[in-house]
Amino acid sequence: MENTALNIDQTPRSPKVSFDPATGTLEVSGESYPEDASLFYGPILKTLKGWLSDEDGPSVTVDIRLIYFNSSSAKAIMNMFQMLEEAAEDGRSVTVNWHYDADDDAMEEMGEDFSEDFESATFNLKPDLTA
Amino acid sequence: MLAQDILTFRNELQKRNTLFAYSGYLSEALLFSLGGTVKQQLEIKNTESKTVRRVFSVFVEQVQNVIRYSDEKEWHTDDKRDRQSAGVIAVGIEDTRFFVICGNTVKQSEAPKLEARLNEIVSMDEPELRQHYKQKLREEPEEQSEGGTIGLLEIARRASAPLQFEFMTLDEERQFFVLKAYI
Repeated sequence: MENTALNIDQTPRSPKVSFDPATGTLEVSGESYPEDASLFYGPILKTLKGWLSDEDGPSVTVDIRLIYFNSSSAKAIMNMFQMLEEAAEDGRSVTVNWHYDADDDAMEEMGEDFSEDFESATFNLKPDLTA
Repeated sequence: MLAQDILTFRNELQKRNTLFAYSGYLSEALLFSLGGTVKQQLEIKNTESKTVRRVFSVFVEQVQNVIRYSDEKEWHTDDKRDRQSAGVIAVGIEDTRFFVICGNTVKQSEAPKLEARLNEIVSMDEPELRQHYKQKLREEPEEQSEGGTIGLLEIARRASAPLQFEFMTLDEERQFFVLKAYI
């Protein structure tokens, strides 16, 4: 299988993205308002999609630790979540942890709204982030 | 004369309770710098972190709207990250509320759609805005759209009062569009 590992360093306006295909762990953390959200997230979504298409692959754990994201990033995150839910529907074990600062009601609402799309995958709201 | 002239200009901005104002070409690079300044200035005033986050979010969406939808654009390279779009943006404080206001020209042909969209948004209450945002996030974007509607909904959700906006005809081709959000 091709090496699909991702290690994208955090910048002040784009998150750290690390993905280890061997363990099935994906982490997105930091702030997200890249200059061009589709350019930033496009390759990440493509890598993930390719990896998820192997139905015999390992279970997936996703940890999102975002302090801030803009509306263009929200769209990309939504696309990523739809992809993960589809993989779960196809039999993959998928867990998404949405970490947020307990004082940030906007991030809590976003997490709640994203959670509505998950039926086969497990989605956990975790108010354990300190900004 | 020179000093008096600029002092008058500065006083005029201060009379309008402006923390800062920028007029000219806006770019993604400038958004990043100005965004950092907005955060710092609010933190210096000991603003609650929740409010800082809201103002920052509205600021980012407002500036990105100008960058994407201003009718006066210059393409520095063919990379859209480098484009320069003319507009005006100001952040200020009236009584105890912050505001973010932006203005830019839009094509006459695009104004009615934008106006209809904003009329719809200002008629919505908080739960409706949240619901509409959810729905828009799940839709495929319209052609040529860079997610402008979601951006406007984000601004409306972070604002503490209905958005204010106005269109003014400049000539047969263009209108001047202004959007003001109180946080």
